[in-house]
Amino acid sequence: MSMLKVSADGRSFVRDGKPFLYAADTAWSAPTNATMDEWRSYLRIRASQGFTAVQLNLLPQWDRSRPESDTGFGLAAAPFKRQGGRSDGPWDFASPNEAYFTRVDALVGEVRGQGLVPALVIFWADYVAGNWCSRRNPGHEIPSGERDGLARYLAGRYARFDPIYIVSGDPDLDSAETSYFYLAALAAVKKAAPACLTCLHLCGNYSAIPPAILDSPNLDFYMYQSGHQAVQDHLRTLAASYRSMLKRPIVNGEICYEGMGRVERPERFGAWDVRRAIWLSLLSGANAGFGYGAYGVWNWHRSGDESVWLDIFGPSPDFQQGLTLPEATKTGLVSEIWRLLSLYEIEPLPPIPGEGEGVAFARLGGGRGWVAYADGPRLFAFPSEAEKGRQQVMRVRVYDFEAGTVSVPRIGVRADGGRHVDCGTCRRDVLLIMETE
Amino acid sequence: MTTQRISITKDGKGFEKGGKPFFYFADTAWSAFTNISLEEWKDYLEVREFQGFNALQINVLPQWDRSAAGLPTEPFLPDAAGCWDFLKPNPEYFNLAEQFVSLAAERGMHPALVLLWCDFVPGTWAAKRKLGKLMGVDAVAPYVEYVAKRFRPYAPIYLVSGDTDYPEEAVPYYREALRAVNRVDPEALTTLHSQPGADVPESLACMKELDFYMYQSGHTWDEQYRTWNWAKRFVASAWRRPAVNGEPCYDGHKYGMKQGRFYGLDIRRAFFQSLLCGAQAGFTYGAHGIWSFHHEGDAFPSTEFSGTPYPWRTALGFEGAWDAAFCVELVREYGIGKLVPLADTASEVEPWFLAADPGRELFALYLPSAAPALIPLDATAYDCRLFQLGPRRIGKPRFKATTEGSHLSMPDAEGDVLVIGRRR
Repeated sequence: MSMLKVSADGRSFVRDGKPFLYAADTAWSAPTNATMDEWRSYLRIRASQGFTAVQLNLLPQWDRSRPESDTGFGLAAAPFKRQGGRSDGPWDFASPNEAYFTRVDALVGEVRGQGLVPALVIFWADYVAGNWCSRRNPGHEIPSGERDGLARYLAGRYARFDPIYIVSGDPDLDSAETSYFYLAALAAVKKAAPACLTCLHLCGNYSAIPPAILDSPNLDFYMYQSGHQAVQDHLRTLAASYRSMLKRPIVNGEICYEGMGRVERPERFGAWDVRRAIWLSLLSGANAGFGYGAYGVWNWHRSGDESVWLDIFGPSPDFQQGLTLPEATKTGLVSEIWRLLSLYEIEPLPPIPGEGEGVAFARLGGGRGWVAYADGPRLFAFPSEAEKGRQQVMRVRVYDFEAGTVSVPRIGVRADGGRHVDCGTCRRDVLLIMETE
Repeated sequence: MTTQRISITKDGKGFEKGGKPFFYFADTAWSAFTNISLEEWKDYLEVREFQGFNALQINVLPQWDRSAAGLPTEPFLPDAAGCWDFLKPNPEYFNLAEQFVSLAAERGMHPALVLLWCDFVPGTWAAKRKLGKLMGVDAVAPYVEYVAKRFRPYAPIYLVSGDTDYPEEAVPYYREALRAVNRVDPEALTTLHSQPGADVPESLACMKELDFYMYQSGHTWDEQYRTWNWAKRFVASAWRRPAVNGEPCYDGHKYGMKQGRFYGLDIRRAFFQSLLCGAQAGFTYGAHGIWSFHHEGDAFPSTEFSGTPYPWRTALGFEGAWDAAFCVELVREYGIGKLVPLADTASEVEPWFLAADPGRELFALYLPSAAPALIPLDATAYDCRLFQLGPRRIGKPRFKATTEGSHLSMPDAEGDVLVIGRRR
């Protein structure tokens, strides 16, 4: 097992020469919150479910769950020494606390040991001045003079675990201050660990990347966050906007977390929302991978803990409950379909007018046919390019996610001569595969 | 309409159609011609087509243990004494039967037709129990020729016998029938459908008119070893032919004389225990209530052994059919229908079944219940997937290399498990 690389066509990843789907689970808060025992059994379960990567924050996650009484860093030591040796002084980012990072070494080592790719956040947005997150949590922004040294320290220290580096966590890039910080941080990370792939993780539904970052040779792939907004009508367009940028692999690194409340709504995101986000993103251009997350796991919650998001995302399940949320168990299936159909080489098709936001069509590589996802049962009209050539479709299959069945839908002809595939009897969302072979 | 014929592959182990591998995937509808209307049949076909079935096993003559004993029309015209004259097929009966078959063929499903269920054949266990009307041996050829001509346009397969044992008296019937099919429709594949415990006698096995083996692992809880025993027996046969488990435990059928009923897990076990031991040409599913086409309140002759059938529309919704369909999809997608049985621990408390291709590029390991296993193959050199077949999840197995092969750690799975590995 070796380092991830970008594929020859620049649209996905390969590892050991084989196509690699980035299928990550999210555990931002592990460094401060997870015991080693919990961490090992957690990783074992995620690996057996077919996840290929785990996303965590190398520094303490500001919105992790913690008891009200905890003014420190949970199970970890403080990450940095204080300036002037005073217990209430500002952090000295040039003096990492070995005890903290020794613990993180062990956590990351376990990720690697399970055959999973560690996807490590270098600077979450609260450590960087000039964006929404540090405005909300001021007081520990990294001074620009200490940025590169710390970036090199972190990137260099973890390079031996074959990680990828997520250089930012959740910022907007509206200010020049934040943008410049990350542009420089990307360069420092790349310099310290040239073999490790880099990306930025941005705030929800965000794609306004400044040209300087877009042109940076130190940015290897795009990670974006479709996020947790109540109405998920932007999945296809967000992926498409990244697809139109400079050619790089695209990952939707933060889909709606399973079990978490829709922003300011009483109902939680469930299995259907998760599948919908994964598949609409994949088929619309984010076909290098996705980041799944379970509420309770990313924040590593224990019952009784405080959660800063209580009013917005609702109460958190605890870590163990979050770990059993059902859609995580279907990760291996996504990965397998991706591999069997070579979804790394698809070409997303433009939306069919009037089809709505819940349908995405893509052309399979090598003229092998088409693949489509719809978030509900439907009659799929043939893609116009198939109708134009009146192409013969030899093998049609539909995967009904709720029923867990593969079946053979019938091709019908409408009054105007157009063809459709009848997936009207499926239970809910479906994946349609039309092969020309 | 499916008119293209199925043939036997060059290696003699499987079927092909139009130059592509064909995995026979049948449903059991023995009593269709007598027990349901054409309208009901269309509803039935709609579901089975959607599930990917490509063949339907139907008894040409009335099934002795069908639900509800009456007959809408008789298959033969009466003789002077009012009994069936086996030399005079009733066109009304066969016109209707042909409509059933035609509707199935339109939906891409091959008819797999039973010519002589054992209750029509003297000397068989069913004849001894006087379950049906006995045909004279001189009627066999004319009857079979009539049937073979009738159904020739629909690319049929013939199950020459049904649930039979092979007393000496019966063998000439099947020999005659095999020859008659071959004369009229030499392209139609033929097989014999036997009782769970009955082996095909040499005198029939040696016939060139016999194309493949079908066996019945059956509906008795204690005899599920027949899923693999028969497969192994046919793989080792001097006359190598493709083999199909043509009657595994029916979904919803009683455990034979025991309390309890078979369901999806048992179907999946039958599927992989047959496949990985050599029955690679296909698999037949059956649902209790479908094969006898039961309507609520119908009389049914063998509740003690089989249990009361479900109404057929209920049985049509059984999840076991989807389980079988998923298993077939795995065979097609991963190419595990051509493996050679490598090792098994069938007789042990925690059995497993292992098969691989001759070059050891691909292997499949089936565990009827999740358990650790030590297998004689270095699985760490393979890219492996673990299929948790109940919830149809895909994940990763954990293997450790040992001096004897590799050790599979206890899978995170409930129920049965399939591991597929492809050499890295």
